[in-house]
Amino acid sequence: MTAELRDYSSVQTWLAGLREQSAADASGDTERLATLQRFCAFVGKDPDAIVRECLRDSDAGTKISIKGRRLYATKIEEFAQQAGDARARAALGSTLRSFLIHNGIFLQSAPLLR
Amino acid sequence: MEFKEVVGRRRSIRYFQPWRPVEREKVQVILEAARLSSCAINASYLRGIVVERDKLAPDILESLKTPVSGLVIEMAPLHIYFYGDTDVPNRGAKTLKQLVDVGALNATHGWSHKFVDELVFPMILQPMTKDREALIKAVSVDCGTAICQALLAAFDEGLGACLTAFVDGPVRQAFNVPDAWIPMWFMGVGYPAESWEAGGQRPRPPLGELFFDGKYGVPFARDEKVVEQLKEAKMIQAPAPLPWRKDEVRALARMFGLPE
Repeated sequence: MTAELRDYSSVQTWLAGLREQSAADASGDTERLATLQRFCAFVGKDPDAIVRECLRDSDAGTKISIKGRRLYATKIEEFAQQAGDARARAALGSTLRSFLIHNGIFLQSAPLLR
Repeated sequence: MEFKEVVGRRRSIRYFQPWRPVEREKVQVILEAARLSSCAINASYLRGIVVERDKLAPDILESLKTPVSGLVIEMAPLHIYFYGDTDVPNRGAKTLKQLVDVGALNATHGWSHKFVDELVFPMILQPMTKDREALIKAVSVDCGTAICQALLAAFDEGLGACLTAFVDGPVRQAFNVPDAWIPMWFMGVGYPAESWEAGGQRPRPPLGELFFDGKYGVPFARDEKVVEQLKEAKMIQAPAPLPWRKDEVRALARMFGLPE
């Protein structure tokens, strides 16, 4: 990645969404960004490219790409496996899903504590 | 709970206590409320498949999830898949004559067995079964009425619930749904993991934007005295967002390992 992570528009959208819609303060940003950075290295893409891959153009405008969303949902699952226990895996996966969600990519995951 | 408070407390609950099952008696109350709803030609169109999530095989549960409703399907311990039975108008002559027999439809209003047999059934109900648009409209309206009663009953029982669309194919396959049934709504039911306020009463358009007095364009005027009475009766409640809602959602996200 040539630019600082915070310079990517998708990262700015994410952090703004976290502040405005999820009331998350900046104290967790360092960890969030480090997780995203490691995920970007894992998939070999920068943040904007990841978001672009989850979208597609259509005659009606921009739509979510089912193929792209499925790909990254799977990649997030794979990436999260490196964390220790179920809670840590969920936290890691949720950070990355949050990045995509605030960029308009609808995603859900299974809850803990079944 | 008084009726007005039940209406006031109902809001879509999207966080359930996944570990806490819904008592069978409460399920029955929900279904009884739906059964007693108003229905055209006295024909009950609504059908429902009640499913306990924890009795589903994992592959079946997975197949029922949609991108939008997957989390509610996963969290709600009780699922009700509501359908509308499009075959019901074919039985309309019988159900209408039941209303004549019990004194609900009377000669005072022009009703008789002969009117039902010779006019209503052949001229209205039978043709309706061949007009798909009219049939779906009739079935959907009555199912919506019944589902609403089921929904309110769930809240009256201290439960939470959420209505959402579902994908018919996997549900039909998993639960042996008859061909004549058309999909209506999925209702996830359970004990709320969020507070009963769920952040406050949801925003709605002003009364006068929705309802008109005498003719379209004349807003139905809202009497503030009535508003105060409804607040007193807890039908109109504190509007969303309550000041602590975002903190509540963040706590829920952390508890369930969900994204912020």
